[in-house]
Amino acid sequence: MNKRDSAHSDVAIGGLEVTLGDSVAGDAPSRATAPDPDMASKARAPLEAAGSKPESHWRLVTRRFLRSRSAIMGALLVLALIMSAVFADFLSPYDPTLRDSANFYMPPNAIHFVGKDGFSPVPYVHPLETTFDPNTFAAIFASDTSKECHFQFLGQGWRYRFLGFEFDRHLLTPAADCAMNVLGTDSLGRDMLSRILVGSRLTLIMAGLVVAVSITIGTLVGLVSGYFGGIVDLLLQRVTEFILALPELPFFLALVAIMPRNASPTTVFFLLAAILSLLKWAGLAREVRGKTLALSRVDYILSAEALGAGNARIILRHLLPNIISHVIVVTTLMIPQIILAESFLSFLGVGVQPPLVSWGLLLNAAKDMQNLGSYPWMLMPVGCILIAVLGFNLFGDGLRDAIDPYAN
Amino acid sequence: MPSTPFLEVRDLSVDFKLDRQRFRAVKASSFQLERGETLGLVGESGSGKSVTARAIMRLLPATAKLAITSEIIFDGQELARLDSESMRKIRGDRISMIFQEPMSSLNPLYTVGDQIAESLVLHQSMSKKMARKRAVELLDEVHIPDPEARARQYPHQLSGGQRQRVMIATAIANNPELLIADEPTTALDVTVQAEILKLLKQLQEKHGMAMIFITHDLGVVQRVCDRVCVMRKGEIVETGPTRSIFAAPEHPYTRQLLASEPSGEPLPVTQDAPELLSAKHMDVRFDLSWGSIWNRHRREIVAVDNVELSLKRGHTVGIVGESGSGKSTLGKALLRLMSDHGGEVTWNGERIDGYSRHEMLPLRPKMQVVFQDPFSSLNPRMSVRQIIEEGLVIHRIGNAGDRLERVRQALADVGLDPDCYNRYPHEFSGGQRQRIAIARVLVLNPDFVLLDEPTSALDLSVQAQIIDLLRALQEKYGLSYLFISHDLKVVRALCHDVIVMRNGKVVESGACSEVLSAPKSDYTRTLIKAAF
Amino acid sequence: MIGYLVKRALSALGLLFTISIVSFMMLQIPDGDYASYAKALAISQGGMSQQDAEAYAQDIRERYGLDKPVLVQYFTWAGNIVTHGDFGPSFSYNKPVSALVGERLPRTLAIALLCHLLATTFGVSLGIIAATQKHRMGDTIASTVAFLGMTIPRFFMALVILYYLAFVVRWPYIGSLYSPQYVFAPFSPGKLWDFLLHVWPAVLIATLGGLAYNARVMRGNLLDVLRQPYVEAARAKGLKESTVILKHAVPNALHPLVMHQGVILPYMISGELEVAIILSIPTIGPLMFNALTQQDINVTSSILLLLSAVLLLGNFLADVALALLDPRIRLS
Repeated sequence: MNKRDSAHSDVAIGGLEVTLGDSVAGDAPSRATAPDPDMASKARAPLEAAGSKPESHWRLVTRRFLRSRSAIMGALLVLALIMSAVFADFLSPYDPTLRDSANFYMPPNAIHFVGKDGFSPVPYVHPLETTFDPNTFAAIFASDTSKECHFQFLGQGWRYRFLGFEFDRHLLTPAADCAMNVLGTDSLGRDMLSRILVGSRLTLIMAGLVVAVSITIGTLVGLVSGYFGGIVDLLLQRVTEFILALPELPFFLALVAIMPRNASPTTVFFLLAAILSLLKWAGLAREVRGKTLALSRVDYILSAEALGAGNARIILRHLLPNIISHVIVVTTLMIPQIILAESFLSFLGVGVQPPLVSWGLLLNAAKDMQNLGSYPWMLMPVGCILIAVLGFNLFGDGLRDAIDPYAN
Repeated sequence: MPSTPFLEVRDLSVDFKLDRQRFRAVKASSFQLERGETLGLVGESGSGKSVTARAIMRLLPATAKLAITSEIIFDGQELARLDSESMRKIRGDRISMIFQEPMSSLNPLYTVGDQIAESLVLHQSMSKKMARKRAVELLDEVHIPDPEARARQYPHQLSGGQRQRVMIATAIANNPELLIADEPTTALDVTVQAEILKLLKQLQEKHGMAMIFITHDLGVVQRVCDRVCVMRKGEIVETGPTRSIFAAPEHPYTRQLLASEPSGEPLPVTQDAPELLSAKHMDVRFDLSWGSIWNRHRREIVAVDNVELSLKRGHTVGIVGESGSGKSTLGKALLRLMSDHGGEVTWNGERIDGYSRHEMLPLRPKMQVVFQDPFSSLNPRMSVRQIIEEGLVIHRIGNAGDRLERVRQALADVGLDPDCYNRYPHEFSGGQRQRIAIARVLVLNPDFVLLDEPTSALDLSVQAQIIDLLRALQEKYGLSYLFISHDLKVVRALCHDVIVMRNGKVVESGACSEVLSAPKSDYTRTLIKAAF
Repeated sequence: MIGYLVKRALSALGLLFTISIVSFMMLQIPDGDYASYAKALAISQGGMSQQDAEAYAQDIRERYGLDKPVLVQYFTWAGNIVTHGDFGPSFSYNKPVSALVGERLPRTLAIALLCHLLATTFGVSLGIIAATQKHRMGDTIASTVAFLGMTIPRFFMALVILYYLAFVVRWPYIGSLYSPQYVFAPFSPGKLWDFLLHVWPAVLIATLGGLAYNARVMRGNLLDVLRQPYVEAARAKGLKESTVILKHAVPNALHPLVMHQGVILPYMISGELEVAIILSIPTIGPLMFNALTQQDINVTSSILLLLSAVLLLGNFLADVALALLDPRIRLS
């Protein structure tokens, strides 16, 4: 029998927000920390507060999300990342492909706002003077503090295409006669800041691509497998199990080993995305299958069947909306994993190939011990990877807590 | 001056902190208890009765706080401010407690013998060997057959009733002076319930324990308690001897509670109404198979075994049984919500067994279902309007404007504000949700509604309202009901005919009044005895 | 229980069979057969003459039955592995793969196991602290550590540590397993100490990630278990809070962790590989990476197969442990 118990576990499966508190008004006390139904349901208030707005699931989620400071921070980081990737050209002071044989391996050059003429909202740098150690021939850099090279706000710089139009305005344009490499330059004298900004695009596109492919496959397989069951389920489950049994990193490496060497960088990029997608969908498929199985037994699905709803309606109107929030959380938390995998492979030199630019590939310059020792600023892109991973993880954790406040 | 009571609770207040909000779960409650006496704490969910019990045990969760004015004086000792180490020594020794969930109140990793022995080793400093021997004696005392072998078993190998007996054995192991029983029978089948109550009474007399018995079930109170405290929203509204409270309740809430016992008569009907739904030789078998391709196990479970049933237009047939009797499965098979069953199902003279999902489609609006749990039967992502009009959309009835009008009409029919259609299920209470579920059915103008324990998950007072609503709707729209329930009181209030099921088989069937007044089988007699 | 274990073992063997097919298929992908590929490599990298190389290729064809149908080839290949442990030759190293891997795999496993042990011990403890101190100091600290451990990329930590050790403190024990004087020395406490001086950065980094994962899982499990009625029942018996946690709650919370080994084990192995590649610790990681840059597919696919087998074995052992721990499985 165990009526109450089954009732509550069903709720937990069906959609957790239903127990959140039955008040219509904004801040209903949540049942989250109450230990038993008797103690918990005291939070219940009858539908008396007329005139308040009805609250859908996503409004509730938004409200809970905004309560967490770390979640908001994560959201802001993610937003900043996406914006800087979209407007990378506009933000880049230099053409990221422009080589400068006079200024290779320049160290980062600090920017200043307060100079001789007092505070200026547009920053400037002191140009670097290069001398060579007479014995070792190692380059020695010194700031020439007597000179100030000022950026120009929204000035004309290198030309780029954006949304099909050609532009040449940039947020900050460097002076033509001065090397103003805020984050230094690489072995060919290309501006690191600009390369990092433009490199973020490929890293994010790769993550977006892989996530799109793997959640589509994963959700589809999971839904079909869990809802229809039978022989289809059995087969799909075996495939999922097999993928999950593969050790990820060695499998990547083994697949990279058989990738054709003479393929174009674009082909390599898409092959890489395919390899990553191949491995990533299985975990999601298993989770979605579990959720679907649990949901299929919930009464509202049975009620819909009793109303005469067909498979398509049950899947699209009843199952998917109740699973999608979970999928979104998994997606957000999958993005950093993909960024890491891509970065690591590119860092090793077996991922994205030049002339494409990604953060991992930029890091490849630091793989050589000699380079790492002499030009440690080559490690800079790691900071961006760190911020991206941190941002997406904070965002995803916050989203999960907001969607599913009972899963600790 | 009279001698001080054995347990005195004075001005007990408990505050909860949830989501940055505080609220008072128990408000300045006071009561007393004498040695050997049984006090009932009665109330609906959220009344604070469980919190009160945990406050006495000092087992409140971290989010709860006992107000400083509270006094709990147990045998001359103030428990509310006792240091936690001394309190720990009282717990399980002088005061012990049993819980509602026998399925999960025992640790799955240890044998039941060890779990009983643990308490003995702790409080009586017995050796492990002695304690194990004593545990076997205790199992014998709570009437568990073959205690020697049972002591070596794990909880998952025992039935729910047996586990509750093990819990009781643990609780009485150290001869406590006070036993707190928190809904100890709620999760059990009625026949098992009666046995457990008998055992508790018997043990109480033998050991001279005082007992605090927490329940929402007035029948149980009447049977077990000497005195009763009626609780509502954290307050004790009335206290008194059981007999006088039941005979002459003073507080309006107590009166309301007593009146909310399902009452009333089924609607008068004519016996020559045409037959709407009938079933012959219904069989449902579950082929349980598990394991992988290499290692397959099979077992067949007969959930419904050769059941016959006939429902006339405007009538209500009740199906009564305990868990595992196959009553819900039968209901689903009749509605053809499961396709694998044997037997004949006739609807309005038309054989519908063997109909495909597609063939069933035109019949669907006429045969509908309301489920037990209002929390899981409404899709949380859909608004009330979307939920109620879904059937209309599926069967392409009316345009958007018509549909909304019908949704509003249905909401009014079930006693809800017709303008609440834009809200979401989580904004409603359990009883209101059940009304929405009924509105979803009503909007299609059905002839027949399967009611699968529609009131079991609800509080008593809400239960009575829903039954009244169902009866009113039956009268207004000439509905026929198949009412599945484990509660004979509800069945008596609503059903014309009744079928008693056990282990998939029909034990007894006939007119409700006859079966209840003159049961033919022993099983029905046991059920009736447990219920009334 | 025996039935359960037999079932698990059979399913593991089934998966291993599938993975072996995938590994075998990888060998088939490059143009031309394996022997001509070997020949080209022998000429370009081994400096063999055309005739010698052709003879060598012919030898390989016969030995591995490369002129026979694919199915026969598969069974010859798999048979060689099962009966002789023969994975074929590595062209870039000019040694049998079994010798190469046989030398390095134990080191990888030793380091990964050490990390696993440390990560489990500390992770579980951290998880217990976090769950029992929910929303207090201990939880905040433990959860922050867990979050950072999960989030900070391992190769980032490896690069930073590498930079620090190599260029700031000029740590002499980088890029090898032993100092020169110990390489051929028999085992001694000094050698063990020397070994630890070389591998601690790898152990530290791989442990940190695993520890964070374990702590997170453990915290969640334990919070679930602490809500179970049997925990309250244990408190109602008058047991000490420490007994309630350690005897009643923690063992129940460990089960999901054992079941999570399917995720944790590959995570630990990947961690070791990743860090070893960056720090050039001569284990499987750098071997696999070098083989892949040289397109020595025989080596990469053999390693894939072996590591998969190790993981399947690890999972099976976890199943055994679970069966022993949980009476519900043991007595089913």
